[in-house]
Amino acid sequence: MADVELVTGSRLYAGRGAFTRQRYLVGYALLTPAVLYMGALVGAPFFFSLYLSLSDASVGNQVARYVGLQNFFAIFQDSTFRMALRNTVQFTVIAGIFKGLLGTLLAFLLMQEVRGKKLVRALVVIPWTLPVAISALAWKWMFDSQFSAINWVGVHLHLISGWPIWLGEPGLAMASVIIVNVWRGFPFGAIVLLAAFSAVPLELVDAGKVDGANFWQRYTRIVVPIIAPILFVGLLFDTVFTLGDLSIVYILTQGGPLGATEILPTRALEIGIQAGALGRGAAISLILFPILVPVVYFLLRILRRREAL
Amino acid sequence: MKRSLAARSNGKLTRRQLLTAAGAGATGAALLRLAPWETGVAPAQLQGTTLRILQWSHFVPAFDVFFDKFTADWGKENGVTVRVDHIQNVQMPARVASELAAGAGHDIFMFNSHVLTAVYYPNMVDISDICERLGNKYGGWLQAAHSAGQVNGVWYGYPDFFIAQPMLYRKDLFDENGLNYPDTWDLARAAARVMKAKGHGTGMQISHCNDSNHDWRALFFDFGVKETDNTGKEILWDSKELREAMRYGKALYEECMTPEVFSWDDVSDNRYLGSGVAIWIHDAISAWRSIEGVNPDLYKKIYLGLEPAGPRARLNVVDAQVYGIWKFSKNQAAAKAFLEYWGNHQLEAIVASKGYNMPYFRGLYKKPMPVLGEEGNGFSALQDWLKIAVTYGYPGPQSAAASEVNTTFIIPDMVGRYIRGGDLEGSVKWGIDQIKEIYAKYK
Repeated sequence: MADVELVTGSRLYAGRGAFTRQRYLVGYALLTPAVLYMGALVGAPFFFSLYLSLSDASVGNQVARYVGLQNFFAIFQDSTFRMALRNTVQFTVIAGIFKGLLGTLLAFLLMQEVRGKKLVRALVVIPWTLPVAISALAWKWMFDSQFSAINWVGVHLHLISGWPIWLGEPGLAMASVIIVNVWRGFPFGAIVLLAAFSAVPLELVDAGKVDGANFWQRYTRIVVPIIAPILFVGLLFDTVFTLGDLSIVYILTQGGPLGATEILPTRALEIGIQAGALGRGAAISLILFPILVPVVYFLLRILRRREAL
Repeated sequence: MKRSLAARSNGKLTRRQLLTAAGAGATGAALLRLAPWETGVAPAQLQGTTLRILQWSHFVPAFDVFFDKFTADWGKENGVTVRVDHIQNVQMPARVASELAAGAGHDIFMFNSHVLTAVYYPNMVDISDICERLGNKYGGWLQAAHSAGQVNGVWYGYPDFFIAQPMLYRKDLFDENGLNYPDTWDLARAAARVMKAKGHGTGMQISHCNDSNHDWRALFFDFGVKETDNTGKEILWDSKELREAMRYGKALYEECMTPEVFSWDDVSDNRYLGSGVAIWIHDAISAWRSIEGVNPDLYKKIYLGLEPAGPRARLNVVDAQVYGIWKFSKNQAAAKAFLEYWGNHQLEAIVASKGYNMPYFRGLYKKPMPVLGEEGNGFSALQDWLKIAVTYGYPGPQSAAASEVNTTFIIPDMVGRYIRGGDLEGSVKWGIDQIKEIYAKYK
């Protein structure tokens, strides 16, 4: 007869405790690289920027003095900064709306069963995959005051009267940088939506049809609530990317004319790097943080609540 | 001879001989340390070391080829491995800032146009010895060099060369229409007014770009405007001369330009000239050189002229190019040796850059200068730039505050506000308020 060891209750608990500890250990071990990665690539630069923004740091001096909120007071006294803040919000919101609309439209189109669907899908993401410097330079040529292809085509098709100076008029210049940002960003939105649409159960949509719901009702009452988490994440990504989009404005207008396209990243570059006032540059780049934090918090909270349902 | 021969044969030295020999040895050693930088022979301490240089990609690509070979040859002769990294000039400010933040990178670095010697100097090596020697040897430095390279009388930057911004005009059109060459702003305006009606206007950027900064400053300085006093502390922008120049600028725009100039970048005026439309532009010679290969006929018709004289001065705002040596550099000796050697070869630099690199040494402006004095089409006017070259901040130094006024494009925006319909006093007040705010931050 084989010996059978009786496991007492206390030993059983002890074993479970060891197992739990081991699980925690493995869990934390698996989590550590991600935490280190985030800490090194996100946390460290962020806290360093915070430190710079509270100091009189300049590019030419490695020793900085703590100046409290002086840099933040200084930048708010600067009328160009206030204009840049306004432009940044305008740029982000308008571009976001158009990217949402065009992205949705493109996603619907890409869902259609047509020949060469895969090729079309590959082609539409090209703007998003191209290096921004190259695509912005191509657009700069298309907006050129003397050789604008847009003007040439528009005038010949009688769509444009006169010869607009795209990058020279404040309103048109803002429209130009928004156009390029939308052109670059909406394919990404479309791909995100396409992936989200594929997760919508068709029987729910069919049931809506049977119940007499029209296209708009099916979209807003059935599809959107299902894909809402993906929409929130997409919106969050796009907002963050657009707020930090330096390249398009820098290449097209450098913030001109008359500061009409000056946004926070270009202003931070001019003050922090080109003029060398790192402290004020860091303050400019961090100014959106207190605004964005509650937005991100509420978006993520809504997301979590929806997941809990 | 008994003394020496005997001493040598005995293998003994008297005290006097010992002192003499030691003195001669010390002097010799000192000369050897000094002379190599003049002659290109490095002291033993440099041999086997590495020198790293960070600089822009020159607008004349052939110059980079020349410079790379020049540095390689110097390195070979002196047993120093030299590495030159060329990057786009727009990337330079961020790169320089990141090198200092990291305390590592190159030994020698360059400021292009945005010269921040006044900001970086606590971390730059004092190179007064080199600059003084070179200055004495080549007839002294231009005033613009002091502004770009010195802080409180100490040389921290080696002013390598500047980029002149001459008038580039269509001589054929001036001749055909009986117009006087644009030697003054009034003549330039009169010619462009006549020729705009015939499809040959002119243009100076009124936008956020470097050309806009120096073109309008040059015009203002020619009208007698001063940025600050000589110390760079007292702001002198707010003046009747500024208002006069602003009024002139508006008239120049309305009579001679099109709204395109509000959208122009640094190369738009080059294209305007290259398209055959412009009667004149106010820009670096690269605008002219770039036409040579693609349109030789047009190239021959374009002439180069001095900065147009204004009512009170003839001053050209040039783009300064300045080298510095980091204090964190582990090879400062080689860096200084190289810079001094390079400073002794400025005439070669003029040739290699096809006249683009304008020297800061007064003594090199002896006519005929290489390339500048040899080429036709009025190119010889560049030989007179020593009298008119100034930089932003004029007549003060390129201080940190003056740099910020420059990088935030306040002057083009002030001009733009007025030209687009703003009232003169309102536009000037906006600009002056911005400038005062900036200077207040550096007090």
